Amino acid sequence: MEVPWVEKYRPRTLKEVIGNNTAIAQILEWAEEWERGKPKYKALIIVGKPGCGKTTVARALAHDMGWGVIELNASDIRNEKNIKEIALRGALYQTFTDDGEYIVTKKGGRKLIIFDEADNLYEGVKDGDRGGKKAIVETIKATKQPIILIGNDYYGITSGVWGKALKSLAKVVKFRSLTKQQIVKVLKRICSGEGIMCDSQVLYVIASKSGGDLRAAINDLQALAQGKKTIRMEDLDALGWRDIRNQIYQSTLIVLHTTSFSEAKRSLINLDEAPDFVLMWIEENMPLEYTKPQDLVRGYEYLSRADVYLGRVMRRQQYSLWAYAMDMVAGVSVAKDEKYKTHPRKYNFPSWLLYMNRSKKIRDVRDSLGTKLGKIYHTSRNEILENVLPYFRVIYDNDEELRINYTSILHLDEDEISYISDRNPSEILEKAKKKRNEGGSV
Amino acid sequence: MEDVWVEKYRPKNLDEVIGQKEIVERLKSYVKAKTMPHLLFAGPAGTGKTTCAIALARELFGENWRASFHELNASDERGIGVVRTKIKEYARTAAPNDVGFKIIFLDEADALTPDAQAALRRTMEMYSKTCRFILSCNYSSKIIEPIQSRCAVFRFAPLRAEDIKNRLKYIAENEGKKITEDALDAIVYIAAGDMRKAINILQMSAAISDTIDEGIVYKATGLAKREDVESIVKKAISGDFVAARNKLNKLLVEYGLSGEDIIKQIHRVIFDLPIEDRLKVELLDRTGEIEFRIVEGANERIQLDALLAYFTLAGEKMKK
Repeated sequence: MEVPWVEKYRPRTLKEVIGNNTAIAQILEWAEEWERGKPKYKALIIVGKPGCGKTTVARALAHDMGWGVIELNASDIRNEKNIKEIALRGALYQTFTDDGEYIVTKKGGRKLIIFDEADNLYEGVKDGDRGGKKAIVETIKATKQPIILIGNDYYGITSGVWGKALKSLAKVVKFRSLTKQQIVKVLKRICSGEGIMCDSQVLYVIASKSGGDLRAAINDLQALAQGKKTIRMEDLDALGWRDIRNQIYQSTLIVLHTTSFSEAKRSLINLDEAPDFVLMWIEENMPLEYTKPQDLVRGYEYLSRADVYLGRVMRRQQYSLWAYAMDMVAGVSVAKDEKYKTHPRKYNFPSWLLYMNRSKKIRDVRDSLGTKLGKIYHTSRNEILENVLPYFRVIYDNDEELRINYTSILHLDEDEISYISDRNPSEILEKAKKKRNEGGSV
Repeated sequence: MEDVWVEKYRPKNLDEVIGQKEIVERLKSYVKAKTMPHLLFAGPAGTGKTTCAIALARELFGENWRASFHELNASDERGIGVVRTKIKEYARTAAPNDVGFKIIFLDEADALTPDAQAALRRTMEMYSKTCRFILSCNYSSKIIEPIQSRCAVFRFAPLRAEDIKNRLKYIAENEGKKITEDALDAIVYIAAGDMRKAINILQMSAAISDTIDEGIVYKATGLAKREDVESIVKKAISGDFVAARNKLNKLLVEYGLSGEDIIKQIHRVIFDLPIEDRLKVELLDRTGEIEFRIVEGANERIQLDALLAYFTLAGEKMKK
């Protein structure tokens, strides 16, 4: 059996972790308080949906801080006596074993105690569970080591008398589920690590299906890739995934076909997709359906408003505004005066996403060229791209002496040369090299 | 010719600076006194802001001016992080010269977010003993009031046609290129007071032909033309919205123009569109609203698409 990719590609350091930057910064701050001496809160509660990186971050934090790790899986040990025995001992003494396993940490170093699945820990008043919350509160009060509690459900952890006490003792950090783009980014990295050719459309479908759960997405990718080096859209259909791809297609169709706001809204609510992705689908296809300019303008006005709400969500982290963005997207249904009798033959996947993917390289080349020229011209990359590059391109293309000189001093590579000139890059590079060796003019 | 002329012919000292007489006089008095306040240079592109900053540093610090002059581009690194780290790091170290301070030249300072500007203000105050700032921007109104009040503000005007023409003549002569009066006039007209643009056009023309006449200038500027905002707007007005949208995407992605750049160009283009004035006013109003939404943090592509839809509607109204 192959190593699960979830483990193989799990980030070891915080720098490698994708997403939740603000939350990670808060956690680092907390860790540094520990290093400086007495932290304001001795414990941290990380809450978030499955597969958003809570455990990974906790472990990576320990790695980055040079701390040892003691992981307690709360589903196994849930009663007061066990928790106290292990955690208090671990917190108060320098070395100890967990389940007979000896944990080696640097001598006298700090140890991070991680309570995973902490909501289970407090969940019930069933037998054996009694006193779980109480035990943890006492542990935190007594501990001399940092403690992180990890769970899915904030209210589950902080409810009840002892839960309230816990709330006052621990700092709460919330994790967001990853966006589709973030998940695709990770999947791409894995594909290139494994030498797998995969359409980015496929990756978007996997990401959609995961609902922001990176672990699920990676597992799906590994399952799909079993014994293959190329993954195509058809492979998804073979696995019975056609539905997922079709869901957003169907919703797009409904919003554009119907003139009933409630019908459009219902189809989007059932969809369980983030509004930014839905917006892209509608935006892509609306001009194909809404051929009357008045309808198009009205539709775009709603999409524009939806987008403004999404911008505010990003800026203020005010996720409650998502609902309004979704309302505005659904509103596109009533932007038309009447139903259209003819429809486009088919609706398309958002071309922007494919375009961005295809143009990644060209954008990188363009930006590095802009930065290099910015140094020469004493100005910014943007200013170069907008106001200088069009001219420089012509000069470079027509003046051989200058071409060779700047190829040399800017260390232009083949791609950069091809971006500004149709001439043969290897010839230019050859001459530039020759010139550099002679250490003077051509 | 081996170098880009904009750099080759960038004035080395304040006396060589073209135009901006009053500003140059004031800057010279700083050199004489070997001190200066924080400065704010405001004005359009190609009017000598960067040139004046570098020339000032050369004259203040002499041969080793580079060690005391730090150039930073706010639009490349616009976050508050840069102010807190890079700028602060540099500002706090002692000046490696006998003048007693060094200069940070912060180009395109109007690209800094208000938060970053607020942080910058504190840095300016705390380290003003060892470090003076020269902020450069297109519009001083985008710089927060507390910073403006701590700077001597200099407004750079577009250069006079005569000044640009003389400079172009000088460069052409120096490079051994023949250029006709008509060609000079054409370049000056296209450049509209922007010296950098004028010199770039001159060099472009010279790269194509040793003798430069009006035809060569237009040929050269034609080569430099790319998918432009005007043709996108016209496509939208003609009713082909999808094609206009595709062209716009290309401008955003492949050429790397920012949404704000594009919307400014749209704003300029509207006046000359073949549509009736009342429609123009409506479109201008929409453009302003869309720019506001972009500035507020909305997605520039979706907002610009929404704006294009208005142009399509305007085109439809014209047909009736």
